[in-house]
Amino acid sequence: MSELRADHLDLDTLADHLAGEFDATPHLEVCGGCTARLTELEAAEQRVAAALATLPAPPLPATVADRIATALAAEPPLTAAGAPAAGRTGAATGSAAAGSVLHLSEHQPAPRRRSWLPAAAAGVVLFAGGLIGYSLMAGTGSSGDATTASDSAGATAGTEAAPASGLPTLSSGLDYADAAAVAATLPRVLALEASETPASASQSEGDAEALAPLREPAALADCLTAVLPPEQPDLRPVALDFASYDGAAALAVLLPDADPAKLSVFVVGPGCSPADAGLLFFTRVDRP
Amino acid sequence: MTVQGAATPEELDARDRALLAAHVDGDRDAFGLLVGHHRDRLWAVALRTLADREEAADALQDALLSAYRSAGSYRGEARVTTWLHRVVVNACLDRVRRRQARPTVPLPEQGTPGEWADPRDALTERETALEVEAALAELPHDQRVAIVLVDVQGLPVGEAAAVLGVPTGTVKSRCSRGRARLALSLGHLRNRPDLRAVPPGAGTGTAGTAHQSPARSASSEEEVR
Repeated sequence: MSELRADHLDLDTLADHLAGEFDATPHLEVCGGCTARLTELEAAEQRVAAALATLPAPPLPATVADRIATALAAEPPLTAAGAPAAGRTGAATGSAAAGSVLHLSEHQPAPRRRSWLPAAAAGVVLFAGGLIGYSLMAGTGSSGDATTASDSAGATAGTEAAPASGLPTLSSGLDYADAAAVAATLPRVLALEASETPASASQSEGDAEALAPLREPAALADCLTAVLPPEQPDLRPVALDFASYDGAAALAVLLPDADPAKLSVFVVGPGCSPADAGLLFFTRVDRP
Repeated sequence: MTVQGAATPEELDARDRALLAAHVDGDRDAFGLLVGHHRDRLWAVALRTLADREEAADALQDALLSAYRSAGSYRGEARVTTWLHRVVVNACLDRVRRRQARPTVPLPEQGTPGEWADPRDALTERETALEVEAALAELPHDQRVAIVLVDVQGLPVGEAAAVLGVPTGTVKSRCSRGRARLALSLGHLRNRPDLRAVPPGAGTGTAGTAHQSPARSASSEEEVR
């Protein structure tokens, strides 16, 4: 008697009946057993719903709240307004290194309401220990924002070293195959003012030439498509480093890490494309 | 006459929209204020959906960063709180998908995954919130998140449907099926052992599907509207 016959209604079907999903369930009209089970299930579901409704709300732990606040504070303000936004960045966080020089672009603002282009327009990106200025070149969309294009920012010429991405750009001279040197040096390089690390100064002409394609907005955006995590196509790189790996030209894409104290570093070759990032190396370094 | 201090949902949404607009216009403090109004509820959703504090913390951070950056894409069709819940739920479900191939780590307080609680034993136990939480953590994720939104957080079914991007009928079905499983696992169906339509071990062995009826898969549930 207690065995569930094949033609009786299973738990999910009874539950769907309670959810009002069926206009009629003919079996229930002829099966006393299933009708009784339905009645009992209805009472049981009400009891469960009452228990669920009284579950205590777990407050957000302070450590998690702090961590999230820190991550949000490191984000650039969501505006295309240039100098005022940059000023507020430093003022709001209070973490800008004293004496840092901001190299604000004089270019017009990028289109509004883009995930990370506004920061490019502001011409400043905030790091935990300091600020790096960078030149705004032709604006391009992020990998997940192909429609942005270089419309309002325009293809205005700027310093040769900066890619047309609006992202902070380094030429650290590092060889990313030397993990120890990267770990020791990169945070310091990031913390330095751009004026102290003249672009291209430490990169050979050959390397610069090899990486030239990735300085093009479209090619760079395509490359970032392959580098950025699929679930976060709009993730804004912290910086790009036109450097080398094992003696050959390579681009290091520095991304925010799940650990706010660190950066994820993806090193890709000059052939980085949507189909193949050409990932050479991955590491994580401390944020400055 | 209104009770002083008791804002209506519409008033709260107006406040939220103002904060979001200020954030989009570059106000450095607006998003933090907005999050402050919703963070505990969003945390509860993330924690109960993922049943893992570290993962929930990561998911909530990912979600809030995503919301921060994509605030300009908010079009105002849904309430701001619905939009925030959607972003958090999506971040959680992304993580679920990524770990699908791996069994979930059971909460320390819960029993062996894949086994229903014995109804007669359960009768003798007190129904503590911890037991309900542990049973909730054993549900398939689609049912779990629907129940968290509707039964735990108290969202109207229509709003939960908007958060999840599914029809209201699907939300009702997921909630009812989830409650049925919870009732079974908490011992509320003690007199009907034949309601064990799903014998222990009948699932695939993964935590998300171990208790799913072999007769009606998740895909068949999707057909229910």
